[in-house]
Amino acid sequence: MKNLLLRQLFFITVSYVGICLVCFALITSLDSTASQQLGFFTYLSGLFTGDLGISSVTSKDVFESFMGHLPASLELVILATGLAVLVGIPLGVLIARKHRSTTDTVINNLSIAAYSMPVFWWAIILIVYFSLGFKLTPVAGRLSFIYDIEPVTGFMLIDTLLSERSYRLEAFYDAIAHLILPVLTLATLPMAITIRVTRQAMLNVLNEDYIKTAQAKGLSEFNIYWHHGLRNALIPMTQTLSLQISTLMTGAMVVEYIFARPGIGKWLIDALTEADYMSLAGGVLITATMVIVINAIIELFVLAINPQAHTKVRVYHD
Amino acid sequence: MISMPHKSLFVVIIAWVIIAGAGCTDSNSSVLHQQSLIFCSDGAPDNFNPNVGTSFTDFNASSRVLFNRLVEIDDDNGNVIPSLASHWQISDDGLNYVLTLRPDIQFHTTEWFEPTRPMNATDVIFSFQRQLDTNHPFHGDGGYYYLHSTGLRDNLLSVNAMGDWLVSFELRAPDASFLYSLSMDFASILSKEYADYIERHSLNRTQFDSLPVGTGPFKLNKYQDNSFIRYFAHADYYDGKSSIEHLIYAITPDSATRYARLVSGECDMMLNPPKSQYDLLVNDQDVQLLHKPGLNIGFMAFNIQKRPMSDIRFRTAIAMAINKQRINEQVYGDLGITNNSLIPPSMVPYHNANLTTVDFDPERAKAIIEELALGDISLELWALPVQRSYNPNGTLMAELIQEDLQAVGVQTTIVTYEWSTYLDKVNEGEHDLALLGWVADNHNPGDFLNALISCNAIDAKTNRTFWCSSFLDNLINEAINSQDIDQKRQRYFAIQSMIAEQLPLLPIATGEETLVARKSLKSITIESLGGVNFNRIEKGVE
Repeated sequence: MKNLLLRQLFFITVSYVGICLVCFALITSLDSTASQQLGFFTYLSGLFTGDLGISSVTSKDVFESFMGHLPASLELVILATGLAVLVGIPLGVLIARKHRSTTDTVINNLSIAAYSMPVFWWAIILIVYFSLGFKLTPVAGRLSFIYDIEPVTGFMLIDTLLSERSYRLEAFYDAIAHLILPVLTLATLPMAITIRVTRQAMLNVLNEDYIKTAQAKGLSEFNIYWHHGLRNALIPMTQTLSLQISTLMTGAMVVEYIFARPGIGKWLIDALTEADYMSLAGGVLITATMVIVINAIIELFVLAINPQAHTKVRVYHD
Repeated sequence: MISMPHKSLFVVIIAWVIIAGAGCTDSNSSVLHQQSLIFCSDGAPDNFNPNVGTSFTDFNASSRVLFNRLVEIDDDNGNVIPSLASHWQISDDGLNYVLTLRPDIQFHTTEWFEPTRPMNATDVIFSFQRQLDTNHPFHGDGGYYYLHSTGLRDNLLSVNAMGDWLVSFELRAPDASFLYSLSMDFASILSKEYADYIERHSLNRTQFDSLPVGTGPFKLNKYQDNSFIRYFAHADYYDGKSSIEHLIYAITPDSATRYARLVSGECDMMLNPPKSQYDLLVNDQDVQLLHKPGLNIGFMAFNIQKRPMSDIRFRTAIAMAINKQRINEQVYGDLGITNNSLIPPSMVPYHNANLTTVDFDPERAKAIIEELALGDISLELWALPVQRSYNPNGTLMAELIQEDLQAVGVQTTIVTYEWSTYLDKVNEGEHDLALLGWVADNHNPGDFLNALISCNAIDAKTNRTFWCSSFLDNLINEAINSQDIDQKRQRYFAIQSMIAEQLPLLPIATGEETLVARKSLKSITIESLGGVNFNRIEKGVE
């Protein structure tokens, strides 16, 4: 167990240094002034001291700007992940139970369609129908510009409720309305994957002997699926989903750009178009760090709940 | 059993959607909507300093809403009218201008500064000294392009206070467009008291331009980078407080998103849609479209350094061959009007609407070309690579001209480059025929002509025909410096006739300034220099 942890840590460190080197090389080759200002180690240490320099375009502290834009992205990613899991897992279990039924075929095929849909195209389709056609949802932004909400946490859903304005409830609903399409767009791909992975994992687990034993013992269907099925299927599901984190991050960037949501993704793309290399250098570094840390945490979580994972390697694929 | 979590989840989603839907209807009815105007702007300003701005985006976010000038121009007739200065006197030699300021002009009270006194002569002196004096603490590293291009950097000798509300400008040489220059964005009046406050408290001087304090109809509340600018109405505005309490610029660089925001009602207003969106907007029941002829001209320049463009008979034949009517229909539609003169139609009374020009006559054009016996020639026709109000579609225009010229026996190849390269190469005279255009900085036709067709403009790289006549230059100077309107008008008419005869360039059309607004907005006025007068607008219920 200890060796395994050390091995994991070693791999994480190596890949992290690798990513940092690539980022650094890319950015210094793009911008000669950045390379004069930055050595590789000052670049890296900036992450821990919170000092990533000052943007030459906006004259603002890069670390502060990043942190200012982070909540908007987290709000989006957390809600999208939540939606994907809350809808994906029950649907996956449902179609595993009704294996080879019409429901199974329909949902399975729909999830393949959702899986292969480009995010930007899906976003535009949703805007055309729901925002421009039915005029149900706003086109872009986090909150209607008429509301003036002081950022406290940076999370619009919380800040609107914390605000002392008379219109705070209206603003809260408005913030929700602004989240519907972006969350739906971003959740589509992970939802499709969750459905398919859950289905496959459940099917594999349901064939195990201990399920048959449980059935023979006369346990209720809910008990069998919940305690014996889903819990055992959780490990391959978590592993597959952890690989989706970087996909989710890039998806969030595209979604933010299309819906003009002022989060990390849009901030980075704006920095790119304005040739703001200091922001780009800092932003990419923190983003990469976040992805690696989250992945590491999930890996450790999987190790914790399943010490056998390293001895018996099982790959669950569609 | 299994479907239980699934069912409750479904209920949650439905509830969520219903709550959100209810939210939309609630907020629509609120008073806040009626007091707020959301303008979808196309870009973020570099700063809020009107002295150094050069782009429309900069001016539209700073000088037009936050500041005032000493004088302004009546948009209907081009006359100089009072603004911060109530009246003025010009000395007989034209070297001294004494302006009397209004005594009741209040600067904005903001979170970052509270003024203790109204505007006075020291603020005016400060606003110009800051630009003129390179050692001034607030000079910074701005380029002050307009101070240079109006000639004031060299010609403005001094600005002095003759009393609290009396300012005197001394010029080195007479300049009949001086008052026009004072009406331009760069001549906005800033607060000296605010600058002193920043110095006294040792604050960062960049604050002066990022957290502005002006006299304009709106004051800055908040600017969130690349996202929005929020302004509040200036309660003590000298010309009356705006009925719009909150003015918000929703920064939306992507033109499709601007369109979507307007159609869905997230924005109340936007400027200059492309023709494709315009055609859709015309049929939209919820929006209104307003037009005003712009102060610009789209034209085709002949490079007269090269043969056969150096031959006036050839240029005349080309002018006869081109069907401007067809260009107008296909390229501009409702977004422009055919113009035969170099001076835009709204520069009244100097634009000659009845100018005698060569008519569209392909038969005669063909005869002249054959007579010239040019042999087997092919000319390069350069197509404007960008979309501008004076030319919404350079490629299409080039293709139409190519067809017209082919019909009279002149072969052309269409050439285009990325915009800055295009201009560089045109400045080097690499073109035969080039589609170009110009947007005025003020209502003074003299500045317009000087930039486009004077001999000096060849060196300044704004006269891309390379045609030059000292006789015409004299006419332009006489027109600019004449104080008598009839005499001025006579000179400008002579200039227009001379250009129509000599044809160093072929004027094609003047683009419209187009504004799209939700039906709920009333009393909207477009400015012919581009932009909107926000403080007159009223908002009703949609």
